[in-house]
Amino acid sequence: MSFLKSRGYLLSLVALGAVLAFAACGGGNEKTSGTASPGGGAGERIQGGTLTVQSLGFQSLDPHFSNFAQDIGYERMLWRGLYTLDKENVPQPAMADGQPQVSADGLTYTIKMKKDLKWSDGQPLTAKDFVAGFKRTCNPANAGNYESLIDKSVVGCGDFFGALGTKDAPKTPTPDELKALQDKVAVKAIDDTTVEIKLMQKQVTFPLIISLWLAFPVPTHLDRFASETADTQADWGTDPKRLVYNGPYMLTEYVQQDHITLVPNPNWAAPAGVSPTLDKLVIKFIEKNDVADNAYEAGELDQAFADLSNLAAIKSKFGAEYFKNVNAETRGLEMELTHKPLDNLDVRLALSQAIDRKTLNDVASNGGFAPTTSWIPETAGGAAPDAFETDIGFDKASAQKHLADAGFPNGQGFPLLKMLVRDTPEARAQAEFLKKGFKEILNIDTELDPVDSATRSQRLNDHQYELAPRSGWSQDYPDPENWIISLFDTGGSNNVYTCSDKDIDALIMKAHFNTNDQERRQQYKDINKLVVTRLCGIAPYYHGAFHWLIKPYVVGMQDNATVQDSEIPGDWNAEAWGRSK
Amino acid sequence: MTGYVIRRILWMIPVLWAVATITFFLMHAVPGGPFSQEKQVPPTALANLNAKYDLDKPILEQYGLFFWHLGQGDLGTSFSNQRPVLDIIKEGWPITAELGVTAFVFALAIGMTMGVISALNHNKLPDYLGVFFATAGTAMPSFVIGTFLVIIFSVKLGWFDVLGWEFGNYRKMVLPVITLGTLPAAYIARVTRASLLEVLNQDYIRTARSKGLAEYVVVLRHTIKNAMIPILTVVGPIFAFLVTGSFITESIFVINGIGKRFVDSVFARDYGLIMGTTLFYAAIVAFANLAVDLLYATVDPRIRYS
Repeated sequence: MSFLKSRGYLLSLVALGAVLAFAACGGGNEKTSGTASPGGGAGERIQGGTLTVQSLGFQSLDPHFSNFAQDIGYERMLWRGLYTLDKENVPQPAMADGQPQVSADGLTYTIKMKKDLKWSDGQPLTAKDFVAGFKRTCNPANAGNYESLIDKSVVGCGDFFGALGTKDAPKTPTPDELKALQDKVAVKAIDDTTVEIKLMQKQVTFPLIISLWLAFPVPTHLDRFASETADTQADWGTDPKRLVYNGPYMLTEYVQQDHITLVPNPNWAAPAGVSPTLDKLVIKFIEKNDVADNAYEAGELDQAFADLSNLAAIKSKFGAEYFKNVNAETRGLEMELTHKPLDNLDVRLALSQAIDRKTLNDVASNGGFAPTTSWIPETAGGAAPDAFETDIGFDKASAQKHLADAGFPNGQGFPLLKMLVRDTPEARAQAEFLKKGFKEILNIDTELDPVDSATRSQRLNDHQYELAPRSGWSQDYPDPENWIISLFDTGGSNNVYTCSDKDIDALIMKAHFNTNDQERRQQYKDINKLVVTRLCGIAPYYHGAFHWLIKPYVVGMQDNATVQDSEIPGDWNAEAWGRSK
Repeated sequence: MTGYVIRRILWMIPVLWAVATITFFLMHAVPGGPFSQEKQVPPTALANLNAKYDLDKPILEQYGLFFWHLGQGDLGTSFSNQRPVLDIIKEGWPITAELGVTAFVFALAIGMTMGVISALNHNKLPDYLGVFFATAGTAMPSFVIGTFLVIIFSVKLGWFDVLGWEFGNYRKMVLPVITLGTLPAAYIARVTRASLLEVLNQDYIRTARSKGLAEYVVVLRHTIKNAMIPILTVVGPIFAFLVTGSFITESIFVINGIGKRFVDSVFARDYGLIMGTTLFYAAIVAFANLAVDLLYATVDPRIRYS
């Protein structure tokens, strides 16, 4: 996903300004998630009114295809699945009537739906629509980005999705073969209101996974979806006239690269009894935060992202209207472990302990983030930011000792390392900061290798780099496994550092298939500790954060802000937004 | 003249083919692809995405498919918008063109007026002011002009809107037009001034004045008309530049034109949109150049096309 990419792009103008702005005195009343919010978010919601807010444009509104955080945020406003995540990110029934019935072997989920559910056009919403949603996610013709979350759990899904093979081993199945594979996807409608899903293996996180966008229903009563086959997919579309909804809002207007307008869905089933009170919700697509802040100040927006390059002045000017929420994102210095001398733990420890995380955040990122030494954030089941301070945190003497232990006393004989860096001011500023620190503390030379975003991603994925500052991960779903699996298991698809540690691999195998949730979570904490203390590919240095301006009369944003926010505070529960006057 | 125009239009075909071919192979040669992202797409998903957009085919076959589809009026699909490129151009370009043409008229009116005033008052205060405008307008980047205008006239004074473009609504038109039109206005002012000064020193101007012609007749009939060739030469590319969009102006005022999408498409490796917008721009530039060449013949009878 996503917002890393998007946010990174948006922040591309901040760095030099950030350095200057840091010198200016700060101020304002910074509020963070979890604190009292007497300003924005205060007061009772009234019926009616319009909110005009800032976000980003979307690539697609197809929940079975989408990849980007903002896309998913919009999709949750328009559609919902059988279950939905509440404020605490716990799955709760949405279109389902209660928790799923799970067979004794844990492999069959039977889900009863609420009665008399309807799409926004008044047509019945049935089990068949949810079955179609799962099959659409598994369909190779749709090429969805998040099929991997059910690839190895739902029977037949992985086989169907993998029917075309891979680049290195392509397959050419016939339409009949594809149809047969589609039929083997073990999700079926028992009757109009009962869905049955068969799993290949027990999966503790399955209720959470089916709360996500990839399990949203398909309006099969519309002609274009009724005619979908195993090798052709209908265009989900973005035309309000061609779409129907089962979420809290309906799309009434879409002007590409400009805005969307939403109105309440009269057939919204309101899982927790919360329905939209707004007459209209207008979401403007604005990429430049300084522009949005001007529009906010001029009264054209009710909410905007705070411009990070001007954070001190914004806090001072807007006071209680400023709101910060640390999100589930970790950034750090990635190291490709097959490149010598990065295969040496002492070298990695030397580099990590030469990073002054607090000053890096204050100077190169204007104090916008939350310095850390933990890979998995505490909110996602990891450890506190300072949990590994003594192991990998800033310590000049220890860094120099580790470098000497590695055979490079005072940096003698240490090879020049290149830092693959995205060519944006903020990323460059961070890399320059690290370069200066490595030289001053370790007496080693590093060189910036700036490239554009797509080139950088390609080179990371091809392992064609040595060091990569400001790299990391943002959470797809709120479970610690999302921070580990595919990232630190040997050969994992996102293991761009070539981390290969038999202790980590063994623990991952145990945790992944452990059905004891408490034990499983502890195992992920243990893996987090191993990943960090062995620096198996990354030296974490901060958790990301969102910074917003919210008018005092806006209700429901701060109260509902979670680490899952896509772009706007509380956008995973946007039905709770409103105005207090 | 008709034969000349037809020949020029026919010449555009190989020009556009060359532009398309160079762009196609260059964009495929650049590292990264439309699905390159920090979170790697699983191999099966990548294979499915490539199959969905014909990227699994050999590069020459993709090249052939592009022209095959182009021949049928299909510019392809934008990966980053999941929409036909033609629809995106149809939707975005009219807005860009409205803004561009308005800024062009602004630039022409301000630039030529200032250039004429400067030239007619050579080495006097109006000339100094004109030269100052021409220098400052060229030196100041449009994002600085736009940002200052927004802070003063939108945020502080509330006279104009910060966001959007709407033709006919002055609150949404004035600032983007000034932001986009200032640089070309300054450039036109400089060229107009220089061209006029040269013509004003010609013998036939002295003769016209000696004959007792009124100054406005000398200026309008004999000076400006004869000074138009250099001005036309720069005005053609300026027009093409303005109506193909401005990344900066569209970003500052959040205008959903085509200029920003073109730049974004390159960074996103959105092959379909890169090809579509590049070809479209190339066609506009080619037609703008043709229009300028035809205008040469209109203002200067010595120029004949056969």
